[in-house]
Amino acid sequence: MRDFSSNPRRAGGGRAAGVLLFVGGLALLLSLASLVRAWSENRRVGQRLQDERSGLRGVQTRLRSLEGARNPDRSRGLQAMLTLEASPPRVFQDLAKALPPDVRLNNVVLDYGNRLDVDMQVLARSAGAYDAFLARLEDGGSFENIVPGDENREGEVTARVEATYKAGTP
Amino acid sequence: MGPFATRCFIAFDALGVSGAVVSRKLGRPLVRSFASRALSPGALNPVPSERNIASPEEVRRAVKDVAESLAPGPSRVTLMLPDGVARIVLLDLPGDVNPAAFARFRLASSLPYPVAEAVIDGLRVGHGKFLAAAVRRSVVEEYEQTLAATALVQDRIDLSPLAAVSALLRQPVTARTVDVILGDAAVSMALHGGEGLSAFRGRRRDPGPDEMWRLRDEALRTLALAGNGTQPRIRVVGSGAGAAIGAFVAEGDTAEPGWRLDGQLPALAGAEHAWLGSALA
Repeated sequence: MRDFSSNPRRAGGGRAAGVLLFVGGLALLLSLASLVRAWSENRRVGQRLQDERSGLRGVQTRLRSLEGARNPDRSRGLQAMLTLEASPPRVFQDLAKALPPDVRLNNVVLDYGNRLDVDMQVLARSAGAYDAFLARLEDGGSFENIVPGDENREGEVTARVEATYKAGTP
Repeated sequence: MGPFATRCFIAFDALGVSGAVVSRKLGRPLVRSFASRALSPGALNPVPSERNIASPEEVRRAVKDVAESLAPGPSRVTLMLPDGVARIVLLDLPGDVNPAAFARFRLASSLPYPVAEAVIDGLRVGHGKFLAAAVRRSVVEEYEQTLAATALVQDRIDLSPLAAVSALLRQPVTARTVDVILGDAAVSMALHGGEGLSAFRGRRRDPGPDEMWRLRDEALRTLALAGNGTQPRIRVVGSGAGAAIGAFVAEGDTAEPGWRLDGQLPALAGAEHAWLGSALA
């Protein structure tokens, strides 16, 4: 039965609740120990991943600036063409097609340059929903160079995803 | 609580506090006693995110009077919160999810306060849909505190519009039926399509001589938005249901009370109290 109480009443289980509490406490202690181990491992790997990503971004930025410097007129022309072929409503329409019901976008940045880079802050109710979103993004045909960024998988998944919009896709 | 138990309800709205003790006789709900006390204007204002009870002493006194008038009744009571305090949304549930947790996720970005402050629950309405509602915890606590002056113990808290929908769904309903659920300060509309409840809308009431015509327009708009034509069957419950039905029928609509409690208590016009749906469901 639905209940909107500020402290919903729970059916009491007496002795059974006590036993469950004890078993639960024991399980909690064991899982805390393994959590600490996993956390330190995760931190080590995360730091390495971060270093690699920083390096990659540096190279990408340098590459783009070199391309722009080589031919600034061509660069501006591409930007104008992109704005026409990949207007924000169209990009958002394609993004919406890829969104499962239990995933939402908290922030989207469209960066019109030689190509259209899309930077998204994603919030998904579960890891499965987040993975489904990535799969639909890849399979939809409107985005490429999909790079899942920083993730936080404590309960809901918050993540950053970068992708390039393929202008001119039907 | 078993199906044969006697249950006690205390309901709040902008114009007054009312209550009932309900049991079952031959499987049908029987209202054993009913009482109500009027509140002065502004004493209680059902809104989602701000203080609701401006005159706590007056509201507590009204609750105490109603509780005493209902005696002898059970000590555990269900508090019915008025339309206007909650954000209510009809959601399609994706597969095997916990409805309340899913509702929390979907409502998070649309609440006028942090989702951590929300109490969220709802009603499964069939066909994989969930009528979810969020109420601010501080608002719930205001209503809970009104029981302090009585010997009653809070059992649970329900929302009048959800209770009404729950009771109305138990009756035979055809597509193109619009349920109009009237509170003193807000009104909700539920539209039934070919596959159960297809839309749910809510808005503040705007009392005045033209209000019933505007409500009728709103009901027709709800029907048109769902692409279901313009000739609805309208069921009405709640504050002013009789007047609304009269206005709708005068315009040639098929309108009727959402439920009847004829012959139970002379002072009780059952369809005028949407919260009674909780006793009927």
